[in-house]
Amino acid sequence: MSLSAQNLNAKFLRSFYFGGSLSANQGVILILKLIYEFWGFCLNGGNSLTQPGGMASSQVTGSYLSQATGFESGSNVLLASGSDGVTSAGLPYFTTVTTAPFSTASVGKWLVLWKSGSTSTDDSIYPITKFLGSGSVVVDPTYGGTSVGANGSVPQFTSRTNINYRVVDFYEVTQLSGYNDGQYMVIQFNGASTLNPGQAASQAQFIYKPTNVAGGEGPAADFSAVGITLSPSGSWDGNSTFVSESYQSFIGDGNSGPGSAGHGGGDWFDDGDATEINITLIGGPTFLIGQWGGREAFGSCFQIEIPRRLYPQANDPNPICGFSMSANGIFTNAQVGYGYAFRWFPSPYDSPAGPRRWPILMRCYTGAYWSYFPWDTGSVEGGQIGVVSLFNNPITSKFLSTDGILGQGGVNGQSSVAGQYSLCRAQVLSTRWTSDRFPKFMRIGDGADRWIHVNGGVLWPWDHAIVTRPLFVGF
Amino acid sequence: MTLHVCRDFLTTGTNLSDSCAEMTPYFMAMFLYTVLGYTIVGQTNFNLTGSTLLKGYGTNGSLNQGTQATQYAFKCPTGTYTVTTADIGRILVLKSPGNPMINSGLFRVTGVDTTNNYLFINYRAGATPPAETNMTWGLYENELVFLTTVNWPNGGGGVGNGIAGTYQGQTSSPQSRIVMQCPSSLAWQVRICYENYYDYGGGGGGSTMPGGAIYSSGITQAVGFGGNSVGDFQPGGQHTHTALFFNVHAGTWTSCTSGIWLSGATQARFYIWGDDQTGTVFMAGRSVVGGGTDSFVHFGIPEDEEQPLPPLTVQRLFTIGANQSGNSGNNGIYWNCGPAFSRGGMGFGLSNQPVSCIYSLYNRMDGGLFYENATLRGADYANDSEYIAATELLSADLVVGTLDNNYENGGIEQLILEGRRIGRAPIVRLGRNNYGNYQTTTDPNQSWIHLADGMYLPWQGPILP
Repeated sequence: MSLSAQNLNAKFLRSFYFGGSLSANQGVILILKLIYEFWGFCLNGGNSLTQPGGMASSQVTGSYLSQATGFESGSNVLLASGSDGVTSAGLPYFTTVTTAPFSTASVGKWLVLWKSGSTSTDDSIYPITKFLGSGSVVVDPTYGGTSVGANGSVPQFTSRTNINYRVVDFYEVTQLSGYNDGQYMVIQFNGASTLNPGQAASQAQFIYKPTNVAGGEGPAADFSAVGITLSPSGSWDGNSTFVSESYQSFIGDGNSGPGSAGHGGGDWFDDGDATEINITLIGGPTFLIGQWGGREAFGSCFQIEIPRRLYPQANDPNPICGFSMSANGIFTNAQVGYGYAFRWFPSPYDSPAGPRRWPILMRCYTGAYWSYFPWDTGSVEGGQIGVVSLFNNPITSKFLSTDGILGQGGVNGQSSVAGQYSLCRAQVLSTRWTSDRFPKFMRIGDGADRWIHVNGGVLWPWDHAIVTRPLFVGF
Repeated sequence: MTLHVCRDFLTTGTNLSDSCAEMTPYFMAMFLYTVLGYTIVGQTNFNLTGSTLLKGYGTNGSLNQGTQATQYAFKCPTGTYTVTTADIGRILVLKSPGNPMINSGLFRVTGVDTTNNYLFINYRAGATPPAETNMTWGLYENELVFLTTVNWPNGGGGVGNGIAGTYQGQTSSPQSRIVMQCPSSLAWQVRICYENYYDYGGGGGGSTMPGGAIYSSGITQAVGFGGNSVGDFQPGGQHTHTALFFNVHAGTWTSCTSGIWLSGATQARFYIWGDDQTGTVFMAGRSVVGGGTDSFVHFGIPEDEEQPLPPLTVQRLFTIGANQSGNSGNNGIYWNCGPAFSRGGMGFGLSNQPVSCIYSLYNRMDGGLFYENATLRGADYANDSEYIAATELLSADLVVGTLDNNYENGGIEQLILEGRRIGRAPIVRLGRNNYGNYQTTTDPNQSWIHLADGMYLPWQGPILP
């Protein structure tokens, strides 16, 4: 089995900053709206200015989305759109050729940019910082943009024309009336088969859940415990259910592990408000990562991905996994079952229907298993994973980092199921791991195999970009 | 790659006071020379191809003469060697061109037919050998004769060259050792050495080494380049014998060489896997009489090598095996490497000196709390995967330069840290470890054998109980 690096074709929304004060409910609405724009247009958009790509398309009735009226393209939300955008290399200007979408009121709104089929990291969401004319504004290119040079730089625009754009007011979308728990959005991984031949376009549903669900917290009126439901076969019926699948949704794990006070949490803002928050989205054809934190909220994140299938297609046709952590920071030195050491992973063999938590296994660089603890201790230097020099080859200027694979074994709070043992089902591609002693934000790797240290030894896809805003707040 | 397998060679058992550990280099050397096509670079008191040990050698031999009475008969080509009753008990080594996983290997001669010039062998497979011709063969004296030629008195005593404060097992030292060169165009070499008392501090008697600490396994296999006519690599040269590289005598270098060491066994079964193109070898010994421990050694070139390749070929080589000889060390067959495991490996760093080498396995992140299950392969509920209705096998990586000490936690930091994956561990694969030890997989070809601790190696057909 060769587990080589995969070109993830990642795009980025780097630390989207929202300076106002929102409730937790409004905070999760904002996050889902960002996902809608980033996933639906920047990552999967075609040439339609109102119809997102990458949404559940197999429905027989209904929709991929249930939100307040106007969520997608209401007049207060979608202020303008067009397909004649132009950017120039190194310059922070966005101009149009014939359309005139801007006014002085555009400042403080956001510009969603994409080109159909493009792999450019310029496809992202940008704040409008200055009005220059009805067809010209200044934006902050560092929200997306392209990092230039082998060692990275502050991201900037490249030269492009015929750019599709949407001018969006993300604040107004949070002010619409008609949001309730149970509303949802179902995204679809059309790129699944490019990784795993024959795989269906698997789906994932984000669904608002009350924060007083079992293990949750917060007032009953809150629905900021967003659940995620995975559909390996991509069978959303467009109305209320996934056909022939009955996998349960999962909410974010809190900061109390299953071995102590239950998973807890669930609230993506930890019962606080969404005030002065920074949100980062990283996505590609086979994965989506979201992370946010703010003045009143610790760091939270979710991650959904199509892992590389390691069993024959017939035995595991449609692997998709994910997890969510609520106001928990990020760390791995915890028991399996929470922390960053597992994935919810629906299995065709789950009985009763799962999904269950699958431990992540990673390469040990000190032998058959870590000496004592995975991320720390051990009295010999070379036995300490926490020692930077263990992972740093000063001669090659390369760093060791490991991929992760998903196997099925008993975890804390979830006993093993007889007959459902799996040593190695799939490989996680959108995360790698290294020493937690490396500085946060350290960027490693070369070419398409480039990563950033999020914290706690966790590496996410990155492009060596340098960002001056607070990044991965709360981690 | 053509993988040859010595499937099950049983030591004589005639003299059960003899140490199988001491016989092991002989079995390995015969296999390397006759089956894999290694050449001899140099030796001291390890005259494998001298007339005392090598009785006959040639090509165009044939196995299984076609009748029930002769199915285990090997025919030495007329004019090459004339069999006699003195051959009974000797060791016939065969290289099979057509059935390398079952007809290659070491076989005990159990009888002769002087009329037809047949050597009858103990095939030890629970099956009939496929009839085959054009076999390369070598007939060697039995291991008891070999032991009389070894310079390694007192089971690891002996002296070196007498130069205090250095690694004495070189130059004029009489201890037995041999350097052989692999058939690959890379022309790397392996040095098989009986380490002397001074160097390995056997019995706790090493004068400068604390508490019975020892340099190495009592018998080592090191890989590299530059072997000379007396069977030595050079101090400061390109090889993985750390004590010789630094030419030192100090306990701080304990366990920085490795080999195979069947501690205590006086009769054993040996299994050897070897690639006649790369020269890579995995050898395992299984104690039958005398108790003690099973053991293995693994050396050569990785599969799926990390690209780009390092500047020097020696930086691609590895050896992993037992690195302590005392009974306190469990030199069994298991994946663990590193301090406190009596198992370790060495590679050659980009810093141009020996560095550690380990098997890098997938492990759960939970570590301490679930320590006993940390490997997942070791979970007590492990079973065949329902996805494939079979036992899963994974690869292990070889990673060098991630341990600064091979002996004990808290030991002195000796080895340079320069972590680098060199490739996939060749031949061996990883699976659940609650599969029966020395049992084959249940697929029709019985394609793998589980030695122990989840170490699986290629197999073909049945195995004797």
